Amino acid sequence: MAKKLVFVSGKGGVGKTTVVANLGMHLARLGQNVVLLDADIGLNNLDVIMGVESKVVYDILDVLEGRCRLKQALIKSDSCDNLSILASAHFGAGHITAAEMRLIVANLDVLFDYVLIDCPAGIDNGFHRAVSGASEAYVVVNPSISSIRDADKVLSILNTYKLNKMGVIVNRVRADLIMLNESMSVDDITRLLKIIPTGVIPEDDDLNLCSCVGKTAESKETKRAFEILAENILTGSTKMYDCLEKYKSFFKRIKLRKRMV
Amino acid sequence: MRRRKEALKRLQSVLMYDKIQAPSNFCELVKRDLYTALNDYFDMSEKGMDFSIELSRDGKYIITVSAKATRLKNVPMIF
Repeated sequence: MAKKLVFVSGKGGVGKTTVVANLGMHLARLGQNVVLLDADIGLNNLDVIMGVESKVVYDILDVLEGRCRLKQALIKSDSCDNLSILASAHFGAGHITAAEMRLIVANLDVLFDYVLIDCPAGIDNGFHRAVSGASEAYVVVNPSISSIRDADKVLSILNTYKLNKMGVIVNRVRADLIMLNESMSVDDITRLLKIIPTGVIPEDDDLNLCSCVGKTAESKETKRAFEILAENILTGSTKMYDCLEKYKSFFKRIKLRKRMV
Repeated sequence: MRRRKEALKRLQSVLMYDKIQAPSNFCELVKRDLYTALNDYFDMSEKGMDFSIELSRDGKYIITVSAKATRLKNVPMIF
């Protein structure tokens, strides 16, 4: 039986799809059979982030309406044999019910070890549809006031679902701004949301560029952060990527202080 | 500029008001009334007083008040 993880945020643009893509890749590299399910009907992007947009022949709506079998709609990733993607439809958000989403997830359950569900932004029908199929939920949050506010509301809503586990992934952390006291730290977010993060991912311009060409993270730091996140999800460990590590050296701190002047 | 502290303070206030769904000056009003009541018995400053409200998982309001006083006032006890 697969672990069904949904990634939500409330606020859009925090990096849910990027987190799903990269986490999926790292879980697959750890030997797990993983499928990424794009539950964002209409504003789907998982296929583009994974670089498989030209390979999409059938999507989730085709499966539900009987135009193809589920296995025909699954796209294998070029980068990893045990990573597959089930693309979303470009339209038809109103045509898919929560029960149908649960049916799709139940069918994926028997084929894979992990089902990672990319939830749309917001807390309306799309959110409820995506969460209804999951057993664990992770809220992706950025160190910004609006993202944390929305994450707090989403966590309250998730408490009403029967989930085995809930977690938070702090994405796009700027260690340089934290050192300059200009940005909230991971500890601040932990205290405000009253939940210890499952993962911490640094801000990475290279990751944005990789997404543009349909690749997952290539920089050493970001890859390490996702490795730790994958390990935490796989084994239940509570390791944390230390974004401030690189500023612990004396010379790096001097260089940073020069920026303040 | 150190914007982190200001951002944290704003966010704590925003998160609290989102949960309790009260007007933005609600806490100030309650704090002032509490100070008035406590000031009858204690020599204290309103500035050092802290007041916060949280919502528990079972929907109850958890009210926390903390204040420092320098001395007890002489209050006639009527029984």
